[in-house]
Amino acid sequence: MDVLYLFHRYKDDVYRLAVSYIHNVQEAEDVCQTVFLKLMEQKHIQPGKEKAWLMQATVNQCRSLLRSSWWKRTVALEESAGIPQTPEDETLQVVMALPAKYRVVIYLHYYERYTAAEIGKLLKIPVSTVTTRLSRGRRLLRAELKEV
Amino acid sequence: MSRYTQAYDRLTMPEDCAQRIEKALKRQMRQQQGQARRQTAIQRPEPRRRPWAAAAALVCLTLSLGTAVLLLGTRPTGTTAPTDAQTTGGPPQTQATAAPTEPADLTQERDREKICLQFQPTVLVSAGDDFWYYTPQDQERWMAAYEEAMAKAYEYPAENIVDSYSSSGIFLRYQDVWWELMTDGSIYDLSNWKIEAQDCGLLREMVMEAADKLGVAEPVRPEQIRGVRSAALNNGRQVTEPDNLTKLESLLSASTPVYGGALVWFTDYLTLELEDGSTVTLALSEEAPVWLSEGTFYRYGWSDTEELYALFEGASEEETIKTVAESFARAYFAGDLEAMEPYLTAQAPREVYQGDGSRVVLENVQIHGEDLESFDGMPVVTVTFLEDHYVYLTMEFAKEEDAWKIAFYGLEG
Repeated sequence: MDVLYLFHRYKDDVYRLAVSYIHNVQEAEDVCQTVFLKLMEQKHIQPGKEKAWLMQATVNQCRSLLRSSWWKRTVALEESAGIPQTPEDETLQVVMALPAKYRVVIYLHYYERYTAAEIGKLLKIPVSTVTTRLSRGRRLLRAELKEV
Repeated sequence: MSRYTQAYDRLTMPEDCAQRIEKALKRQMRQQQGQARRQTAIQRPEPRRRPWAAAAALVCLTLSLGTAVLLLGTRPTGTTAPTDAQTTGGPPQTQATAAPTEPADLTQERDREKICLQFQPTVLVSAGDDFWYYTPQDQERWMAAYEEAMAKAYEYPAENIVDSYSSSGIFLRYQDVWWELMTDGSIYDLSNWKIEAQDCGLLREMVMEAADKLGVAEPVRPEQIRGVRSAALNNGRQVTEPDNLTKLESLLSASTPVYGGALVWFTDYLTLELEDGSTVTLALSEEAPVWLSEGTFYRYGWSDTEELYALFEGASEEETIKTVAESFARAYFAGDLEAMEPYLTAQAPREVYQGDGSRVVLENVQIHGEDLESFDGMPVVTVTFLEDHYVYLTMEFAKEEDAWKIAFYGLEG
C-alpha cells in the first residue's frame, strides 16, 4: 500500500470533509495528519476501498473532536479561522455557515456523490435523518445563496 | 448546486499543511523501516519486554500512595447545566464542588510528547465545550504501563473491530495517538485497534485513579432520579402536571444501561430539579429512547421517544402538525384538491402533484422544530417520499384561527 500515493490522491478529499465537519481549518489540518498517519498503521486495506476507509476514518476523527460540541452554535465566520474571505469564495462562506449536520451531508451527497444510504452508514445515522438533513440543508443554502 | 460544487473545488489542502503531513509520513516510514531492520537483526519477533518495568511501577505506585493527593472538592451527587459563570472559562465544576485546589491540574492545552488524559466535557458540567487535559507528573510510570498495554495490542488480529460503542468519555493521549476508554474495560484507538480489558488493566487502573482524584463527575445514575419537582428542556418546553412529572420520573429511574453505545445525535438536554435540592441534567435524543450522562448511555424505552416527549407541554401541537402534514401529503399525491383545501390558508397555492401518485411511498414525516427561529417561528415539515428517487414535499405552517394550516408547500427533488 503506497501511503504517499494515497495521500497525494486523496488529501483534498479528506481535507474538505474535515473542514466541512468541524468548520475549523487548523483542527481540520490536524485531523488530516492523524488520519494519514493511521493509514500507515493499517496492515491491509482492500484495493479500491482506500478512499472509503479514509472517509470513515476522517468522520470518526472529526466526531471524536466534536463530541463536546453538539450544542455548540455555529461559529461566526470571522472566528472559523482560515476560511478564505476573498469575494470569489462567498459561496463557500455561505456553505460553511450552515450548521455542521447539514453541510456534512450536503458535501457528501453533492460533492462526493454518496447516496443517502451510504451517508447513513458513514455517519452512523438513519437514512431518514440523512434525507431530512439534505432537504433542510438545501433549503437553507438556496435561501442564503439567493442573497449572495 | 453547481455553484456549490465549484466552491468546494476551490477548497484544497493548503500547501504548507500538505508538506508538513508528507514530512510526518516519511518520518514515520523511516521509523517503521528502522524498526523492521532492528527486529530482523536481533531476531526478536515477540514484543519488546522490559522485566524491570513492573518493579519500577510497583515502587512508583508505593511512593505515590504516600504523597499528598490533589483533590478538587467533594464528589458531586449530580450534575448541573453550565451557568454564565462557568461558560466564561475555567476548570469543570459541578453543583456540589468548589474550584480545583490546584487549577493547573486540568489544562486546556496538552504537551504532545507526554502522556495525558483528555476528559470529554459535556454541556452538563464543563465550562464551555472544550476538552480538558491532565498530564501526570510521573510520566515514566505511566509510560511503562502504556507500553505494556501497547505490546499486547500487537498480539491481536490486524483489525480487532469494535462492534459496539460505549465510551467512558475519557481518552488517553500520547503524541498523535488517541486511546478511548470503553465502559467494558477495554481501550480503543478509533481506527479499529482495541486492547481488551485484561490486557490493559494496570493502565486503566491508573487512569481511573487519576480521574477519581481529579473529581471528574460521575454519570447520573437512574436510581438518583428521585423526587422530581420540575423538568425542563433546553427548548423551553416543560413538564408541569404532577402526574406527568411522576411518569417522567418512573421512565427515567427505570432506565437500563446501554452497553452497545447509542449512535444517535443528542439534541436536547433535560434539567431535572430533585426534591433534595440538587439538579441533574441529561442529554436526550429525538432519534432513540436513550439518555446520556458523562459518556454513559441509558435506555428508557424500546421503540420510540414519544412516551417521554409527550409528557412535555407543546407535544400535542407537534403531533397535530405532523398529522396535518401527512393527511395533506396523501391528498396532494392523490391529486385531490378538494381534500387538500381544508389544510390550506387562503393565500396558499393550489397545485396538485403531476406525477403518478399511486407509485409514491411515504417514507418520513419530519417536523423541524429546532429551526423555529430561522423560519420566523413557523414550523416547517418535510415529508420524504420515494418514487424512483427521493423527493421531498416541504410545507410551511401558519396558525389560522387556532388551527395549523399550510401557508406554502413545494416539491424539492
